Amino acid sequence: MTERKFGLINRKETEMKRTIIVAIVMSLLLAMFPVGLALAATSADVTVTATPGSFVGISCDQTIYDFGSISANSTTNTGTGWATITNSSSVVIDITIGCNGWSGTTAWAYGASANDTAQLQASATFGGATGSTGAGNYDKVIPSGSTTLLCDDLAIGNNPAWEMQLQAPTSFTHGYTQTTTVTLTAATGG
Amino acid sequence: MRRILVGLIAGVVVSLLLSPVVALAKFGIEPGKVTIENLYPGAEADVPITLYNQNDHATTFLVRARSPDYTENGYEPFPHLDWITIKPEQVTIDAQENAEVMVVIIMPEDAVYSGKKAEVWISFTEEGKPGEMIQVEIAARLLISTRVEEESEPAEPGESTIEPAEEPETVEPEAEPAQPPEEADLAKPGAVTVQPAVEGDGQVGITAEGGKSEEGTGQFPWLVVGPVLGLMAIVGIVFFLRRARQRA
Repeated sequence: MTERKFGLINRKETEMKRTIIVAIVMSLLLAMFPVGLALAATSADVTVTATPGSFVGISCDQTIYDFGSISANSTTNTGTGWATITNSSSVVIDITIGCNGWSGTTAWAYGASANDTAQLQASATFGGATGSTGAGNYDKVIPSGSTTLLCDDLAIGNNPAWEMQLQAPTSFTHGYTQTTTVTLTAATGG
Repeated sequence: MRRILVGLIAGVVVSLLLSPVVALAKFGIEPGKVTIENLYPGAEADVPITLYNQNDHATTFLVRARSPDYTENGYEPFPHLDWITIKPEQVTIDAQENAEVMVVIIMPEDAVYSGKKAEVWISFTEEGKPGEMIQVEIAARLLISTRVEEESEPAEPGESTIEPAEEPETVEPEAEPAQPPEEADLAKPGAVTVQPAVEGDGQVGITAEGGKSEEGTGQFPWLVVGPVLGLMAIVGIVFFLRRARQRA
C-alpha cells in the first residue's frame, strides 16, 4: 500500500513536471515568434554600409584673386603655384573644379574668343595620370555650371598646388566689374 | 576704336574680386562613401554623416543632395533627389567640433525604379561669404541599388540595371567580405543584388533599417501564423493542466 501510494505520488510528480515543461516550452515559443518577426523585418532588407575611417577633407589657402585691369584679347594668370590645396583625407580622393559664370552690372558671357566673353583656366601639380597635366599649363577650362576633373586619385597626404588664368574677351563693350565663384569639390576617388 | 577706349579707359576694371585675403576653409566629413543596397518601394535608409569643423571659429555649413560629378562604374546619376531628406540642411558647428547630419532616403510605395544602380552626392559647403571667389565643397558619395521587383517594367536601353539574380532571396556574396564595398561593386556588377556581406573586415554596418512589409514580396505571413501558434500553445497548456489534474 505504501509502495503503491509512493508510486502514485511519483507518477503525479512526473505528470506535473511534464506539464510544466510543456507549458514553459509553449510559452517560450509564443514569446519568441513576435521578436523573431521584428528582427527579421529590420535586418534582412535594406543594407547600408560604409568604409570605416573614410574621412574626406580639403582646404585651400586662397579665397580671392583680383586680376585687376586687363586688356582685350589677352591672358592673365595668378602665377604658378598661386594656391595650395591641403588634403587631410584618409582615403584617395578626386578634386573637380567648376564655376558659376560671370556676374556684374552687365555680365559677360562665359566662354572663349568672343566679344564680352571670357573664361578661366586652371592647372594643378599633383603627379597623377589623369586630370591637369601640371604647373602653369592651364590645361583645364573651368566650366560654368558643371565641373571638370582637376586632380584624379589624389594620394593621401598629397597637397597639390594650383593656379588660374583669365582668358579675356576679344573686345569689350563696357568696363563693368565681373565676378565669379570657383568651387573645388573633393570626393572619394574611383 | 570706341570699344577699345571703353575697355582701356574704364580700366576694364575687371576686378574679379576686391583684394587678396588668406582665409582657410577647413572642414571634412566621414564617411566619404556609403553603399545602400536592396532599396525597395516603401523602404527607408538612414545614413548618418559626421561633419567636422576644423576651423578656429564657429562655421555654418549648408548640406544638400545633388547630382554627382562622376559616377561609379555601372551606376547612373540618381534621378530622384526628392526621395532624399537631409536633417538638418544647415548646421552651425563650433570651432574644432563636429555634428551629425542624417540623410534619409525613402523610396515611395508607388515608385517604379526596380533593379537600378544609381549614385547621388551629398554636398557640404560653408555658408557663402561676400567677396570670396574660391569655395570648397566636400561631397559624400551614396551608391544606391534598388531591389529587383517582379512586376517591374523592362529597363530602357542604355540604363544601368542589376541583372536579376536566379535566386533573388539568397545571399550570393561573390565578393570577399574583406573587400571594400566600392571594389566589390566594381569588380562584380550584379553580385550585390540582395543582402550582400554587410559585416567584415574593412566594412562596418551603419544602419540597417527595414521598411514596411509588402504583400507579394515573398515574406512569410507571420502576423497570421503567430496568433495561431499562440492559440495552439494555450490550448495545449490548458489540456495538459486538466489532464494532470484529472490524474491527480
